[in-house]
Amino acid sequence: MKRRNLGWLLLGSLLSSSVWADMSLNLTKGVTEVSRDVYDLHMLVLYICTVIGVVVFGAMFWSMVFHRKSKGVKPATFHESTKVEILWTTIPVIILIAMAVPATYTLIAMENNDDSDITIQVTGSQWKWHYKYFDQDLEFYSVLATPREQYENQDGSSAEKGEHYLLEVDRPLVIPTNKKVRFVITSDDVIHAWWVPAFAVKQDANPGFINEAWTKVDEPGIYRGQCAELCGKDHGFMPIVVEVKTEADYALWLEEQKQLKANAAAAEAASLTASVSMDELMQLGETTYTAYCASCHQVSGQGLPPAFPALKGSAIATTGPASEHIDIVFNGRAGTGMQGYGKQLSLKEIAAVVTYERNAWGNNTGDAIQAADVKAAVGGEVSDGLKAAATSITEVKTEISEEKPAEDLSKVYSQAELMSMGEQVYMSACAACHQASGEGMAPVFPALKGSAMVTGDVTAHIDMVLNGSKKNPAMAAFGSQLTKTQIAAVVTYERNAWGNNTGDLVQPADVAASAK
Amino acid sequence: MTSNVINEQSTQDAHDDGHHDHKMTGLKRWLYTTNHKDIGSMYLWFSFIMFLTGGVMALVIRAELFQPGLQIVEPDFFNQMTTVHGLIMVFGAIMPAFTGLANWMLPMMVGAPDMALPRLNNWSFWILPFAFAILLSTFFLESGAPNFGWTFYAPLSTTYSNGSTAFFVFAVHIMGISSIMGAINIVVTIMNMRAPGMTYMKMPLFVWTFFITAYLLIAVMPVLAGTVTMVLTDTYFGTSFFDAAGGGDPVMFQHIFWFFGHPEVYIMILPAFGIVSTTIPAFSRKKLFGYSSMVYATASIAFLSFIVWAHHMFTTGMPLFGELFFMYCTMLIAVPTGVKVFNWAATMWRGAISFETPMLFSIAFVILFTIGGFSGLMLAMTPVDFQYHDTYFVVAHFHYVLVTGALFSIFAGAYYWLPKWTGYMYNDTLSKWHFWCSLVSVNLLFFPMHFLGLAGMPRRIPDYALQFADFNKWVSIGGFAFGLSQLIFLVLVIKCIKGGKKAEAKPWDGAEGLEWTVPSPAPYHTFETPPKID
Amino acid sequence: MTNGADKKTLSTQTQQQAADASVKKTVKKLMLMVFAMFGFGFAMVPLYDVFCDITGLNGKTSNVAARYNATSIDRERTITVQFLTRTAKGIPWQFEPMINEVKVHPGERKVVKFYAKNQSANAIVGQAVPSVSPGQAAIYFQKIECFCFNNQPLNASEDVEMGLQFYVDLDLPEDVSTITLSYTLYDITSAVDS
Repeated sequence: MKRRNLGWLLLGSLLSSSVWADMSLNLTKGVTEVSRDVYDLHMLVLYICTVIGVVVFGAMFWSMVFHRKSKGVKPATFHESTKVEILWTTIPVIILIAMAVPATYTLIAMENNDDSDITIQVTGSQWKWHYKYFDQDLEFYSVLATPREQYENQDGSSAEKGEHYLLEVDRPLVIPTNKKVRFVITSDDVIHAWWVPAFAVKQDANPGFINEAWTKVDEPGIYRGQCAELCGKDHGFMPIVVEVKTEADYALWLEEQKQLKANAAAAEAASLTASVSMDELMQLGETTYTAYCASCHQVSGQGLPPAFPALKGSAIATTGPASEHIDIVFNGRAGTGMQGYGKQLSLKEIAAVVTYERNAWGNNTGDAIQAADVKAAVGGEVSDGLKAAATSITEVKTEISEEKPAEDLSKVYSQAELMSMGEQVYMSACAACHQASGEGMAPVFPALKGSAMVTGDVTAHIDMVLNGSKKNPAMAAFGSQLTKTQIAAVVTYERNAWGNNTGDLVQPADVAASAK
Repeated sequence: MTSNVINEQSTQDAHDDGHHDHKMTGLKRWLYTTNHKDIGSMYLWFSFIMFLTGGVMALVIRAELFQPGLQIVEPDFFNQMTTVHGLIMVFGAIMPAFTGLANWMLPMMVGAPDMALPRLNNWSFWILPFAFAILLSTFFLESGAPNFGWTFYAPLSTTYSNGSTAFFVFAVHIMGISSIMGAINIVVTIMNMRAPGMTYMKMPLFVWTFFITAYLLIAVMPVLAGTVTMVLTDTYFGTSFFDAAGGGDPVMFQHIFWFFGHPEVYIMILPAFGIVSTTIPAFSRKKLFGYSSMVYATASIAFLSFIVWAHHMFTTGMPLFGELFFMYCTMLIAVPTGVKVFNWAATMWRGAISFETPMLFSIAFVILFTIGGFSGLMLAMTPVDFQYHDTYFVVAHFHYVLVTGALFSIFAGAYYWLPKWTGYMYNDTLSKWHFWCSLVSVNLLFFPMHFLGLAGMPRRIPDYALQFADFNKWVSIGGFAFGLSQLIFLVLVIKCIKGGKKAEAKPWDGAEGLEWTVPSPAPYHTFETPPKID
Repeated sequence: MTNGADKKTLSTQTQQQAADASVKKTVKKLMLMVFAMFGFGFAMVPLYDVFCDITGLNGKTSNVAARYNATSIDRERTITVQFLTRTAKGIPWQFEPMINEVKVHPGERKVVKFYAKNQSANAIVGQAVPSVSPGQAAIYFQKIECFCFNNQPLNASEDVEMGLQFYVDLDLPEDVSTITLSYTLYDITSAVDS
């Protein structure tokens, strides 16, 4: 180590490094009115201290040079002067008041969280940030994006470090310019602190309590910060990135997020029927594990006991029931560092990571967990996100159908056409509740496979899809969300899939007839 | 020192047998000693060992931070290093060093034969090594040592701790008991054992600062004990002092902790004021300027230290009026502290200054401590503190105050009294090397930290963004240089104990005080008959 | 005069005894101070709560029901009250406000509902912990009835709508126009069981 350090030293002093220029020596001015006030205040105090320093140290150095014993001076005998002492008590008081006045004004401005345009709930947890847009139905986690191999250099490996090493995240917080954005800050576990220097915002995230801060940014750009309160092992690895966009770009971004969310939900719904091969599960599991689990449980699965237990050979990941294993991954464990990943990972990812944990490092249980198993294990009911997602799918669908010209209700489709269209519609609009397998999730979401409803009277079936259930509020009316053709297709599909083989073909005209 | 003092002791014994049981030799002598000089020496040696231990941990930190990336240690071990480094330096190095100086010098300065409670004195020293043995033993646990920072904020130290909390709490309890007993001894000695004629306002300023510090200790160490007890019960016995789920509040931890923590900061700096108020007049050959205002300034700093604690917590979400109150009170501390600095400058003014090593360290203290004071004033400004808080700017600030402040004053004191302790003059060249190496390296170590903090580097992180790389490299080089420089001091002290030029009773021509009226080395028993003070 | 080898005389012995007595007295006083301060450390816990109640420090709200005693409704002012929820680690509940924000006049009584559902296969006891921001508004945010006063047991898959009745005090400082109420839901099953 020593030799390498010396090498570095020599190298470093010979070649003035390129990053040198990047670090400003002073506090950032930032991009908000408050941050500029703070900067001015900082400079004011700095100048005052410098002047006092020059005077006091000057007097000391003057004495050291001119009142030296070696010069043969005789020491003076004074050792008191009430006048001088009163003077150098009052002058500092006056200077302090001069400093306190602007500081008070800035502080009052900083603490005025009222009348905000946008509210964002910021939640810290070990070791990531979660952002939730109040009124936007949009929330996501933001985690470090720097690849592990860039910072884990213990074995001497040194992957090239990227430009924003340790200050980059997978999903930055996005806010618009010129809007008062209020942050409501809290924590899920220990105390964190949300700090973006360019906004002069730093607030502790206290578990169980909320704190407020606000900002109003002038310039679009990407601003980076870090967690500023020791929060455990990876305190240094939970950066904050805020992307400030113009209002127009921000609106576009919001739209894009909605679309992305819908896509994700569709993929989630699709994953429920898919039977993923072991290889694929293990592969996805390993990637997910490395990204989300390895910082505590270690790549080797040996953990950092006792705080972070080993998974290799552990009861939970081997002999214990898979459902319990899934539950811990999904919901976390109270009173420990283990958080729930249900809201952070897709069902498929959770399935993959559980599969991986149950088969890696010699845990060879042979269990292959599918997304559907995860859903079954965590209570089987549609999770929050899924329900919201299902709603947004239908929203998207509505938009799409509206774009289409008026549908041709007289058209007659073949069984194959109806079945393939029906399957698509079913997967996006129905499978979230009734499951891709048609087995539903009793009791709220009844099975369609072999059910009386879909094998019995066709008109009642169509009516149910069109108008929803009168008894069960969970069954929504799809009449306004789907086209008549789509309803025809989905009813046909439901009546013929999963061995329901009724052979019924429902055409758009039948649906139109029912709708009247 | 050992052999020398023992020789002295045996000659003393010839005249003075019967009422002191110190005929033991070897280990037993040190285990059973009730002699303030022996105990003082043990405190000083102990604190130096702890200083080196904590220093090694600092070097692990600096080695890891030498370049970006994790090369040497895991993040969790890094946190253990910062935590234990802090605990050891505060409770193991600085505080025992001051207690050691107090033990050695206070009885001689007030003309007392010993501390008022000699057996308690023995006890308060000997529990310390056990406290630190417990603390350090955690490194051998599966969980590792405390990793929640020396400030042990809940719930990181309670619900989310790694299992070392019980050891940590027990160790802190013992340290606290030791400090409290030491403080009681100091107060009782000063109040009851002063030589006839030595009124309070005739006491050396050194005695005054220790007197006030001891009161601070008695007031706040029990609060620390209370805090760690609550942490213990929260962790292991299901109470919820700091857990929102059970109706507690993690922010309350910080209020209670800093109610101890802020006076604690002054516990570590007031004695330093006392030391340089002794050395600067001595080497300026002029009386201390404004003695009584110094006393009042010390007392008012001590008082103010009780009403500024929340300035450590501006970002925890305090109401506006709270932030303003604590900002104003904190800024107010600059006034008495300023008075002190001005008084030292005025003491030097038109003196006849010479630059022996104690004076060099004292001058460095005044200047560098004042720099730490300036950054303290900047930190006091709430709006700007939002930017400085928990960055390297804070790290720079408190290291300027505690290393170039407290530690440099301890060095100044050690060089000043070393001839009195050992009977020999130390090697002057070596001491100058120690000073200049320390001075240069300590500034290389801590000054760039100001810039790192302003540029946005948080404290307590094991790895950092690339723009901080160059400064961290220099800081680390400074750290290693400073660490190595301290070995010069070790060599110097050992050489000085072994021999050298014989020291006179009063080796410094400008020195004043009763301690210089006894021969060098100071006899095992001094002032058995109190001196008369006019 | 400073030689430590001087023999003790009778008079110094009496002096010694007098000194011993005063030493004992001082030690006693100091020990009293130590114990008092140790007690004070613990006394800071209730003191802190009292302080929070008075000042609303940290957004802690009172956990006892307030009595509605507003004399009038100030229709001139409209306050936006926002609701946020958070579930703590390890509690598999869905927990959310049924309405994100409401507008109220100071003095006006308002009822809002929160929805909670136990998504696990076990019975769990939850406890919601409220926090109000800005902190200074906490003492003016009066909860007449709140599900957070008691814990909330839910069986597997059971759900519940939980009510909160509140009003904002007429004395709410002028500069506050938005109040945020956050609930964090904790799993306290083990604490209740034991």
